[in-house]
Amino acid sequence: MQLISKFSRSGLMLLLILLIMLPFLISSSYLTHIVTLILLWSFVATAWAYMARFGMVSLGHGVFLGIGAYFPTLMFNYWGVTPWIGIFVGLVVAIVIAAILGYTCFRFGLLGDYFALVTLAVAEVSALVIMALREITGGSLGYTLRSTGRLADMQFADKRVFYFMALILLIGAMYIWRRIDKSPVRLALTAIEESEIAAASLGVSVIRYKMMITLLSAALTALGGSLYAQYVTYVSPDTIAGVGVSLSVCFKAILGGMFAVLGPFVGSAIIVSLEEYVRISLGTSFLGLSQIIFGVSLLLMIIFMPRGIMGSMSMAVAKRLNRISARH
Amino acid sequence: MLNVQDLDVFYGEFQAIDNVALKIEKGQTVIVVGPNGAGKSTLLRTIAGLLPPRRGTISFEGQRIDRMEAYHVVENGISLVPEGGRVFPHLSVLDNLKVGSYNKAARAKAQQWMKRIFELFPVLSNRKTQRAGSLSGGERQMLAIARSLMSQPRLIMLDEPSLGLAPLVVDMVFEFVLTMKQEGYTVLLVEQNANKALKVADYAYLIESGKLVFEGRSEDFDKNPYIKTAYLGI
Repeated sequence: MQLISKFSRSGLMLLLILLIMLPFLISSSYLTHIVTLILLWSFVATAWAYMARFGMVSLGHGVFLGIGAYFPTLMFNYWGVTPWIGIFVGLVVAIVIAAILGYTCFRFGLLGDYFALVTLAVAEVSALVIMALREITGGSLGYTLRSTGRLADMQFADKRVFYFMALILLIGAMYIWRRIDKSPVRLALTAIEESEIAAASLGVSVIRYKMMITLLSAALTALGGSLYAQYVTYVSPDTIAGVGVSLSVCFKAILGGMFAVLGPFVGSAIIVSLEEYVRISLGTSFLGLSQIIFGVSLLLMIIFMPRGIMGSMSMAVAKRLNRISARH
Repeated sequence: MLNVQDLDVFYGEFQAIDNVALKIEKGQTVIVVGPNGAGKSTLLRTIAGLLPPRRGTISFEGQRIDRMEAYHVVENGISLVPEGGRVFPHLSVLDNLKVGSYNKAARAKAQQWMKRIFELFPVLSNRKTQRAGSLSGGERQMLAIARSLMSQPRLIMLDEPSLGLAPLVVDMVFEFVLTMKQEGYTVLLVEQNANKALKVADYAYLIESGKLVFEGRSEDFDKNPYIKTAYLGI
């Protein structure tokens, strides 16, 4: 086991160095754009997996993405409030919504499928709210961020700034993930997942721990939504709120493996690249093909590799090492 | 030590506990017997703070606990071994025990306490790193009890510890209840297996459809003709 952790640690360092140097190595701003998207979605998928890996599968993280994306954008366009403050407001709103939602679900003991269904409904509601407030939000046509190009408005001439912001956020999210793993919180949340009654009767405050991880997950997701909106300077209920994007976040984490710290990153890298590839090579001639590919591959994944790519890989490596050490 | 008075508990419209009163003195082993669905588990869950009572009071060592959250009740010295044990199957034996010492008071002394637990349960100390899901039924029940003891309770409540276990293992569990008694624990035991439970009890209660129908010492139970035929099979 020690060997594996040493191995994965040096692998992580190598990946990190590569990601830091990448924007300087490649001159294509298109490629940098793709990797920025990968980093952004990895960050969001990692935040989603904070909850999912302890059995709280949310199909409604689009709500928090939407809040994070829309609040700073609208506040800037209407009131001229700098996104540096707007992001903070979005963050607070997301935390409040998550607290209301989470507390309601956990108080009444909604678990597993039921929890997932409630969150799914909430995601749908978030898209409907955006459409209903058409006058303000632009409805389903979306809304474009006013361009000023000023640093104070979080707009940068060099788009690579966003790349590094996304990278820092992702590293931060992975660091917190590791810290959770090493803290008693992991034990408490695992115990809660396996039996809430047993955990509660042993003195684990079930609601407190579930709320903690939910608020953390929602806050980081909102932050991801904010950064996405500032980066692409366009928000719409299809791309950053509602059911579709909620599910696509889950897909990324599940594909890569939601129990491994690198899983959501690997999943996002595969899906974002594949989406781009399909979009470019087929153009508009076969709309929806990428969705079909994802649908089928997700189905196969869940049946044959329920722990995702990273989960299955680490299990295979562990088996291999066991066999080697057994031989000696 | 524990004093339950005029307790009513409802699941929606259904009344599971109807005006139950119960008293336990320090160091006693008290049992609650009764048929399936009589409300025995409900009673324990209510004391543990997992269910809110609609009416009545529960006090422990002079303090009201009937409106407390479950984790708070544990901090105050009451611990419940839920029905079927409910060990955490994917956690190791050691991690299961660690969850047991999660409350603030217990965490400080968890290390020494763990040693003590392993002396009491030598079977578990050989299986520290094994997943709890891979243990046998009896070992799991032992782990569930050990895990509850990790919270350093003064009152330990056992919900049907003999459920689903082989006869030989059931004897082991009851022997352990006696050991706990000798160790000075106050024990509240809920059982369908009235015969065996009465042998270890200082005082017993009989519950039928949520109502208290009889109480007394083991001898009183043995003498009562109704209980004899209905529960002891004599």
